[in-house]
Amino acid sequence: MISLFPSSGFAIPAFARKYDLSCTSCHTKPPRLNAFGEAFHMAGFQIPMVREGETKKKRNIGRVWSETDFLNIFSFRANGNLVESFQGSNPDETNLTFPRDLEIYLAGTYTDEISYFIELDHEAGAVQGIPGGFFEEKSEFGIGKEFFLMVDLQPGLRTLFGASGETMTEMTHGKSGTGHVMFMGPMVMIGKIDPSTNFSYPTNRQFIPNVPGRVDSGIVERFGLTPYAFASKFFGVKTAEGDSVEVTREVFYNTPGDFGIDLHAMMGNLLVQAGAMQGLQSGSRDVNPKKDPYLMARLNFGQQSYTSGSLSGLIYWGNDTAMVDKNLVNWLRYGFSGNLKYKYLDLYSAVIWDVIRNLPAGISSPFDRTANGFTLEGDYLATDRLLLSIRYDQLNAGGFISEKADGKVIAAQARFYMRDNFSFYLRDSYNLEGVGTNALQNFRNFVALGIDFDL
Amino acid sequence: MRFKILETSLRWASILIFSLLFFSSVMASGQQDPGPMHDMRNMEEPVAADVATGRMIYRMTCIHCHGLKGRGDGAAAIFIGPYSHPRPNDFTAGIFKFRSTESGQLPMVKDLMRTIREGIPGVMPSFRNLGEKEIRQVALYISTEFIRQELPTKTTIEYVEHVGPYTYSVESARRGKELYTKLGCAACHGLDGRGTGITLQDVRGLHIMPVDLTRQETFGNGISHEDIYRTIMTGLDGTPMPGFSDQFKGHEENAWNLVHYILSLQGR
Repeated sequence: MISLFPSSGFAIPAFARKYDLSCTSCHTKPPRLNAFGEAFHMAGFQIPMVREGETKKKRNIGRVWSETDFLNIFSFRANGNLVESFQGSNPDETNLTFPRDLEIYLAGTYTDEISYFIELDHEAGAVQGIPGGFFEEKSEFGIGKEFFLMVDLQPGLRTLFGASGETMTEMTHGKSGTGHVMFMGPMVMIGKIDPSTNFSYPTNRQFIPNVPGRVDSGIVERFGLTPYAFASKFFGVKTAEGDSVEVTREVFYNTPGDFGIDLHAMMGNLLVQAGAMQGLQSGSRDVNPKKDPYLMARLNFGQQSYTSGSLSGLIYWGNDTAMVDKNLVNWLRYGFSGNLKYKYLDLYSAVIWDVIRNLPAGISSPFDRTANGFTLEGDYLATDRLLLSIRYDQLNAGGFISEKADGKVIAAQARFYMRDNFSFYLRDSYNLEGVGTNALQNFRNFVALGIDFDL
Repeated sequence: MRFKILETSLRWASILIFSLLFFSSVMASGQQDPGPMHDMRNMEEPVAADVATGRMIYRMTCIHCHGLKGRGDGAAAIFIGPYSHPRPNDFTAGIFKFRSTESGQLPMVKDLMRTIREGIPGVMPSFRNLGEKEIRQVALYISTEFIRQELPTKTTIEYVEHVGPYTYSVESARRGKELYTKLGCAACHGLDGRGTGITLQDVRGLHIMPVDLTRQETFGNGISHEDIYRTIMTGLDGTPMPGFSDQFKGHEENAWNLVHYILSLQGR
């Protein structure tokens, strides 16, 4: 049972090369960020306050940093399952998909205040909704989860407000009655973004990869496995364009990438984030003139005794981006997440509620307009090369009552790192609900052996 | 879906271009005159305002590894060397690897500044772009808040300037090799400088491997000729690497031969 799986995280070896650091300076193990990595990301892929800390390999043309070494901005990632095997009902499947996912990254800084992140991606066998309530599996190459510019607005704001010299320092750091308050940002991200990277449970930085679904003749035979807290959760919901939406598809704030604008800033231990997106992964098509606004706040704690953590709250308003039958509806999402890191233990969890609003009377069949999901993952670095992970997912689904079913899955994984950028993993996922006829509960017990490689 | 960009690509491109132009122009107009180089007078003397600014910078950049109280127990610290050396320094313990002072002594402020400025390859980034003024402020904060002892302002080690071409000669390398053998360097670094494969322990009991002298990228204390000279004389406190200033006392110029031998191992 081996397969190469799309692991939806990313490590950027280019940054390690650029700053002459090991991967674990920013990661517990790639792709999960440690506290320094989070600060690095928050500062626009730079060391906070340092502004292009390592410029030996760069050419400075005015205010533009020109890379002299392409490898300082280029990274490549391949992952997938050498063998995957599903058991528990007929017909059993054994697949070989290598590579499942290929990703190319270009990331770096353009000036002290402007950074960029470009991701191109090839994914094999992705399940996608199509009109008519049907789905298809297809392989794609194109823009990946993220493709954006990040701009630090602080220098511009300082200039606009005429701050300079010591006043700049005061404004940069702020002051409270009892002491200084550090202020970072505001940073704006424009383009295709995944703002969940700032959430306490960032779905693009988890160790247990998603399991793709399976489609047969346009019908989902088995839904994939994603962190259920962030899944769409509703049976029978479509996008505003009428494409079907997988009930386990990550959507909205934790979409695997959507076009929009995101603004975030950090004041002391509090991170505040606001933005607007197209919603339901509409790509670059402007199908949502109202846009979907969201707001997130995260409070960090710790920073000594090898401990750090955070608590986050999220609210997202899906504005006419979803459809039930042929009626556009609003979709309210809210939830919390938390993260605690202590030495080699890393726990992160999220619970998210979803409510379909303004559901019209007279839809084709009874519809449960509320749903929620819960996800808890724990990782433990047992040795410097062995990472053990376990994740529990629970989905209390909504949608058409005649179609819906709930899900509970527990997954365990052992990941062995040959090097920080090259790992094998063995994983097993077990369906606690028991195999049923519903495509959600037809998630059959699953074993995989995969490879994850970063250059 | 991913290449269906036609409908609104112009709109998004316009937003991007407008934003770039706007912020570039705003930031260009906001460029501050860096002014003259910060006055480095009395570099060792902490000034309250400098310490306060150093504290802010520390809490933005250093805290993640060195921790809130400077104990080297920041949330990211343990992953730099999982289950092994190196770990971020515990400033409160008063043991510093990178000094120009005698083994067992505290570093000078300029030593702290050098480490902050240069970083440690593979482990700690260079903070060169903070600026000398800010680097000094961070060093002063570390000194006053965590070390809490008066730092030496000079060293008793005699640093003899290098004479002659900045490369090794066959003769100097030969003399350096004799010193390498005589001083027992091969016990840890091996006869060929690549190490013996033994695993040692640092002062915290963490596993540490002797540096491979043929690979300059593993030199934590810097790779310049002067850096290697200083490392030989001071040692790396907290690790099994001793200082050899006593052995060279009165004949410090001979240490350059050992530097040359190490350079010859690297072919530079």
